[in-house]
Amino acid sequence: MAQELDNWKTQLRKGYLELCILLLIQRHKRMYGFDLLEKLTAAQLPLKEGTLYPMLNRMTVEKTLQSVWETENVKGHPRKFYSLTKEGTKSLEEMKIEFEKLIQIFKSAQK
Amino acid sequence: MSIDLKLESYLSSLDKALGGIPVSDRADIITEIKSHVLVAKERDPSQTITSILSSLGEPETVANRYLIERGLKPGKAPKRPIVKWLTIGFLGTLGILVTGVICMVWFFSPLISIDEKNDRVRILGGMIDINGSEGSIRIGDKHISAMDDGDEAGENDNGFNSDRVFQGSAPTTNKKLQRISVSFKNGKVELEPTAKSEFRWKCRYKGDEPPAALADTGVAMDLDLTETKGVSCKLEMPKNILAQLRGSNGKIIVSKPIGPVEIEMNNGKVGFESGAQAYKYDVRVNNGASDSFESSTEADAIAVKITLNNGKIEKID
Repeated sequence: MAQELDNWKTQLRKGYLELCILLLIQRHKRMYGFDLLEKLTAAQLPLKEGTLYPMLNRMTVEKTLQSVWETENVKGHPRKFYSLTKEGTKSLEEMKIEFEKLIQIFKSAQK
Repeated sequence: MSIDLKLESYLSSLDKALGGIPVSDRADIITEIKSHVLVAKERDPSQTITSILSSLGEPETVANRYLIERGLKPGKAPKRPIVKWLTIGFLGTLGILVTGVICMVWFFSPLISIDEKNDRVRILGGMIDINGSEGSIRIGDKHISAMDDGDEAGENDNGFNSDRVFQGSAPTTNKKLQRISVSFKNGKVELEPTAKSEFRWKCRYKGDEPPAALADTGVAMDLDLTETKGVSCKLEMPKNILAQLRGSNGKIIVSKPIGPVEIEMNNGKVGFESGAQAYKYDVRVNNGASDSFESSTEADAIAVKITLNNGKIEKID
């Protein structure tokens, strides 16, 4: 039973993980991978770096995100900053609406 | 391996595993992962590059996630380190064992060699050397037995003490008696027929402990010489009683038997001299050679069974 519950949590997590990443990037305008990892961990959504970077890469290929390398305005090593594209912002708004709907359904089902 | 080399090796493996992704994208991924490792190290200098890379996961696993996210076919899953080390350990052990076996085969080759001219049998690459002309057996560096033909005290110069003689006789008039067995570890046993109704033995031996007395159960007589060092025996066997001779290393000579004979020997030589009687032979050598023995078809032929593991069975004319 515990394993089934873990599987259910994993599936649920997958669904809102992408939403949370996009929300964080929108809130901070632009973010780089390491920064995102820290923020996700602080938000009780810890994620392995080996999982995050491939996701960011996919979202960039899908044009949800755009990226730019910065070397001059950052301390230390060059960093790849991600920000939302216009399509990404639009997708995020739709995702938010859908998620709100889900919350409403959840709440009404509890009553 | 230095820090840079570890990181470069990891990135190289990652790049290789990302094969299905365009080169420019691959370069971008590699740069980002490298940046992540260096930033992580910068944020927490107490971390090692190894631990940061370990947290990232095996390069093939990370590459597979990139490929899956892009809808591409992932590569072969990497072996877990424990599986990898177990495999290396297993193959290493197997290699050592195979090498050991090859060395053993080389060391103990040839398994058996027979030198007719000098009357010698060498077994396991010379580990056991039976010298018929000298009448000696050598196992390793040690002469553990001598096979002297002389009956008289003092004739032997191979370490026998002429005072250590074990001899005796036992009547075989008991009609229930079926067999007489003699077993020994290292040495020489000669069996001859006797017209008398008694079993006689005369053995010389090394060591201080005399052999155990003949055990007579009525049905069988057993002369156990297996605990006696280097024996040289002459046996006289009466008619129609099965003679069983069992030896580990050495020589057995049977002359003109007038009753059935069963010989079992591990290493050495067996000589057989036929008499006027007809014989039915069952002769087997696992490693070595045997002269040809022709069995008689007569119903009353005396059964002769000889089983030798390593060595030679020869016909004495």
